[in-house]
Amino acid sequence: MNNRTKTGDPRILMKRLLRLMLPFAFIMLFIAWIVIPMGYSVLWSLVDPQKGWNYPDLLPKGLALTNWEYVIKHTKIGSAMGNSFFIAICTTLLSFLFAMPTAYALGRRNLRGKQIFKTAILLPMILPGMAMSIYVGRVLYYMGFSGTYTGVILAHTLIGIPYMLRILVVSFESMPQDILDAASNLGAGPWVRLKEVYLPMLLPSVVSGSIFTFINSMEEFTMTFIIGLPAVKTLPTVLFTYLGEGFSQTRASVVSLILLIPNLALLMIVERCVKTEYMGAALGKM
Amino acid sequence: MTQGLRVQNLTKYYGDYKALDDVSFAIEGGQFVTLLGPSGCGKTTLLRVIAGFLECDQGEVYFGDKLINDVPPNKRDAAMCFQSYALFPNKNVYENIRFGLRMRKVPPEEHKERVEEAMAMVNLTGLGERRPYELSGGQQQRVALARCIVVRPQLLLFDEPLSNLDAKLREKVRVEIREVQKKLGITAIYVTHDQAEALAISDQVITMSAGCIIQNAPPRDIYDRPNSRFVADFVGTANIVPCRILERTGMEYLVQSPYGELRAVDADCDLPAGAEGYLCIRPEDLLPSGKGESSNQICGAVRTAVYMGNLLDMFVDIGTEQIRASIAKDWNVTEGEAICFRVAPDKVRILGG
Repeated sequence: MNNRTKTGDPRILMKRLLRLMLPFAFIMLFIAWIVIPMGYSVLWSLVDPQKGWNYPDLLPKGLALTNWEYVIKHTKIGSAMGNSFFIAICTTLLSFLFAMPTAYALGRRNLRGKQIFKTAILLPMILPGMAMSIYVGRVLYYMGFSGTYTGVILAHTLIGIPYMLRILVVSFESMPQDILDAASNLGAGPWVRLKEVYLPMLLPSVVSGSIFTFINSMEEFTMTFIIGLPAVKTLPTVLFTYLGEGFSQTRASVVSLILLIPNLALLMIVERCVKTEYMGAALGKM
Repeated sequence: MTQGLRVQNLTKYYGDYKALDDVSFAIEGGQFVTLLGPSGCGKTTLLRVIAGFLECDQGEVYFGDKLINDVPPNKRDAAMCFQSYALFPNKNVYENIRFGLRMRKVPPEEHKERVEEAMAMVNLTGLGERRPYELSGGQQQRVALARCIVVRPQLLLFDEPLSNLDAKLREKVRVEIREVQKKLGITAIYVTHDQAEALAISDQVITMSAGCIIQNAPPRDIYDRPNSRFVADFVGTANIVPCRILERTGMEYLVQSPYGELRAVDADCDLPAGAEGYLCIRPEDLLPSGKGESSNQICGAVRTAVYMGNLLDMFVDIGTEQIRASIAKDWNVTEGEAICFRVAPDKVRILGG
């Protein structure tokens, strides 16, 4: 073995080179896929409208904050952002409240038709958003929730629940029964089991489920558009007004960057705060 | 001394499968009792019924004189050590051990002292701040044991607690478990499929098969006076062959078997002359002796002899049957050699079906 590597067999050298290069290549590809569009949207948001950015130029001729100023001054982007956050937070909470007991039942109880139900809850993820929105909009209209925050939150929750539920069901399923038995064996009632055993071990899943639900709600357009407008405006609806008739790439870039910032910040904070070791530790050493 | 435990006519079904079949036994306070049996024999089910994690379909469980069938597991005064340790991964060692005290509303000012006392008892002093995953398997099981004894329960339950440990450590923790249990005088029920472990640790061994208790006796009796082929075969190794009883006077028998005509003294057998049964001889009860030198001999030719270090383990052909013998390690035998063993009549056991 050692002899062959020492002789510098070209095939082995090639393999080594590949082993070094392959991850690098993937990282580059990833960067190209994510960072280049992002970079362009930053540039677009900073284009100086006096000078413009036209075909042969690789970079804009001049940069200015004019578009940012315009968007912040002349649109209700501030209140739209507030709305987005409010709706996203409510959606996440509501999804959590709905998903917890359902996930418990699906993950830890032996129910008839469990598999069918598990598939059914994924439907909102699979159905085309527009089709869903139209029917859900109908239902909410009859219920008198059209154009209200409640309506929008309910609609967003419908879309958000599958994410939350799917993740929670899996982690409920993988929770070791022994630990729960040990807790009740030592005298813990249902409430203590929930608070001290289930929740700490589910925390990583709750967090990742919440991130999905939150971001999903922040970015949801069709539901908000059909149910909420004109009363309820969120960041995506503002963004889409620039993508519609009065298409303005520069201002759309500003709005999409604004939409991006809170989500990124949230992701980073959460990644730092949450220790994902609990479940792994519980399952790992058995 | 804590109270004992009594189980009466327990029956438990999983669907159509009868996991426990009319199981009854009683344990005196302070005793260490092992439930021994192959996997699927119902021993863990029985333990879980006693702990309250499972409900039985029929029968009663008494702690002392108190019927506890309808008492939920968190109100039963029993503490259990699991095979998987089942420590709370999000709590450190100290909090894991303290958990039971908090649940049982022990005044907080006593916690520290009691937790430290329990930790000292299982040699964990100084590890209070560690998280479970930072500990070795042996340490984790000690934490689990400390978590149980700190609440000073009526009953300690062990569900194959040593199965995940390596052989050396298993022996060490086994001794620790037994010492702690003796010191505190807590009644203990210990589930295992390891017969050597069962013999080594218990006051009483309850051997189970297919949901039934086969024999409930002290370790010596389980090994020396098995009441059935199953127990003889499951506990230790045994040469078991069919036999026919030729003569019987009191508890002395003359039997005809593939090993030849043998005399046996067996106080527990109730088979009459002429009956068919099984003959059971432990390999270590066979002693090499010159042909014709003594009575009650079994003679054959050595098929294989394996030097095990502490003994010589051999298989000897006797007609179409084989017999296994464990003899002193200093013997030298060659394969194919003719050899005779003598066996004391009281070491020959006669068993019914």
